[in-house]
Amino acid sequence: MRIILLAILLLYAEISVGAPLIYWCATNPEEIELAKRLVKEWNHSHSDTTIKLQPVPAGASSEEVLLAAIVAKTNPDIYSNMLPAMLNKFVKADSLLRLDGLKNFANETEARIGTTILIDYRSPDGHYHQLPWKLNPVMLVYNIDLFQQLKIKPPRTYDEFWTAAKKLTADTDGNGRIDRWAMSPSTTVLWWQRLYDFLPFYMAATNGRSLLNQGQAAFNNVSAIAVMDFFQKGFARGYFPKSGMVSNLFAQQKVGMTIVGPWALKMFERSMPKKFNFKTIPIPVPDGHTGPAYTYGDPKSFVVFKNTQHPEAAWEFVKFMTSKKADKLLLDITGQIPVRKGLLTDVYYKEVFVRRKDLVPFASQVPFTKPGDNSEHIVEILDFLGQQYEAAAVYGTIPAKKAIENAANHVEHIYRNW
Amino acid sequence: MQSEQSKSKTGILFTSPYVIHLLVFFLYPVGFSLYLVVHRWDLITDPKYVGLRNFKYLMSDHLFWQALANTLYFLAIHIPLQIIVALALAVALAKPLKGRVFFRATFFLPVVISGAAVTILWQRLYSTEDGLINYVLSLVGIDAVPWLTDPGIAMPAIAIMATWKNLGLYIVFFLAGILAIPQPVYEAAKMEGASSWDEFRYITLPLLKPTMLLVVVMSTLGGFNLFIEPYVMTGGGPLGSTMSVVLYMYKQAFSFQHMGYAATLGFALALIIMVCVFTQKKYLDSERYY
Repeated sequence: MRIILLAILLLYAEISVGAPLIYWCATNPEEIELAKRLVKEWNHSHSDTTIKLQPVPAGASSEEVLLAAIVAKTNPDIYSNMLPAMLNKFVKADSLLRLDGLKNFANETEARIGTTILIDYRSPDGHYHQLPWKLNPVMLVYNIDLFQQLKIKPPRTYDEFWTAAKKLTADTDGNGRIDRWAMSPSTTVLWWQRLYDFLPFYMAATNGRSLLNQGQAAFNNVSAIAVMDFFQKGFARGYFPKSGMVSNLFAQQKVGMTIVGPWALKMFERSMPKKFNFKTIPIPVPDGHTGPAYTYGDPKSFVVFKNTQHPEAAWEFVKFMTSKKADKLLLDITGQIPVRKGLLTDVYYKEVFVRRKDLVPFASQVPFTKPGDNSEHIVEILDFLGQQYEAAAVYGTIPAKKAIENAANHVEHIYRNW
Repeated sequence: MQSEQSKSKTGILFTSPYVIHLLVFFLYPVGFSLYLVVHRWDLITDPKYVGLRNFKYLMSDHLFWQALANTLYFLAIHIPLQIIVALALAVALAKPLKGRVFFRATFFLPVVISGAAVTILWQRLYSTEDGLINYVLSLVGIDAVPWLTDPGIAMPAIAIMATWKNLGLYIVFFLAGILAIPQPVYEAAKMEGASSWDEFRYITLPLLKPTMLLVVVMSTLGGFNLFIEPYVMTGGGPLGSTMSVVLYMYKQAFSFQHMGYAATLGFALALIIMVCVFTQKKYLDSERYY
């Protein structure tokens, strides 16, 4: 009997004290490499609170996987791939730890991020449940060699974009079929695709406005119609292919421009059949637009789950992962931009930017980059917006104005019914 | 000798794994789904009782009705195509053909390959600009067909793919049915001067009626469960033309976390399948077998 009791006590001690904290990172090779390196370093100096690294299990989206894990109570202690747009759902479910209740949160965030940017990440209840980690501005990348060869000016406005698109779209092998296009925006209705086409263009056209305002659609306006009309024209004029091509068309030089974040640069280099030079510029804006071209930042944050046995240790690990040194590694290994003020002026990061000049435009864009809306209905809203985008922009079956009206009305419908 | 009580215990012991399986993986999920039908539940907060609101929403949800129409359209192409092609190949494979074993195995191969892998393969084949099918068509002067991006073509394209994937299974069913027909029946028909077509029309086809019923019912069940093909190849597009009921149900459940509404969709689908299968059974099973 004594032996059994002792065994139970030892097991309990193992579970509550010695068990490692589980940390889930994103699944791309660069982020896994970064996480492995930092976790190894942490475990070397923290034998009492070790971390067990695991990339997010496969699924349609990491958000779906995370939800399933919470239901099954198999969620990690720490997660670094939280999309702030989805955060409210987890806050409502009371599954996230309030970080602003932890030691040094204010000092830590002030030093790294600053209050002005941090406020964009506040939960509706006024507290902070996430620590912004990276903000990757979605921008326009163009093929310099092709642009020079065709004597095209990099586009800043829609008019300039059409001039470039007309020259880029061509039948290069003379078989009577178009085989090179201006750009290849997604034609699918997957909700997150709108984060890489409609949303950055909408933010660029509106000086960074978001889609929602206190449970109401804030995008039933001329700017949204202009953006939808922009994509409609691109598909209708044949500048964007409607096909189901799944290969990387930019790396294959089958399109002259693409909309991506900094994470894609290394991927381009890896998948280029023939090397070429490319450059990054802000998202084009409607003609006559004044002010900077804002964009969407594909943000990802650190969160700690409420059911962790070691909240303080988890918070310490999050601080370690977002330290000055870790941010430098994030920049260097993954080519992604940490949410850190003065990144371009800080001498500590200078040598990375000297080596990786392609990251400078992305880092310069950060002050004009927004994390997007935080709503528990964001997936459904973007999904319906995607259906309207498909109908209006890709197939031209409804006018752009009607598509925006439908999407805005559906937002009201979603909030009313669900 | 074993006593009655001991026999009963042994029986319970042997049947218990299945009973447990049934309770855990069938009765409990069905019971829980019934509970969800009158609730709203987003997986992570407590379910909220809503009475018949999910049903009312279903009646006015045009996306559900579109998904149902798409699924029926898929079935209208898939079932006849499956039967005609599988039957034709089974008839051919029943004959003393050279390399018969090889062909039988080859036709069955897609059945055992993962659905997702097959779907990705066909997605590449169907690609408008760089797909193999359009390349072959271009060799004979036919313009590129937008297989998966034209709302009018996408569902038939998926039906062709699904038919190819399941063909082997139905060939086996038909083949078993054909080989079970007694040879003297054919010999007698030959002596009476029947042609090959007469043999097929008046002997093979009528005697295959039980197999036909099985194939129709199984194709219907499989067709109503259409999911992986549109999920991987088109995401339900273009313009919702390949959105099946199961894909819509999955989207409501796992993309939007409307678990109660998804359960309601599930029950509606089960009801529709029941009506379809009973109707098929009534018509195909009404005459006596030979």
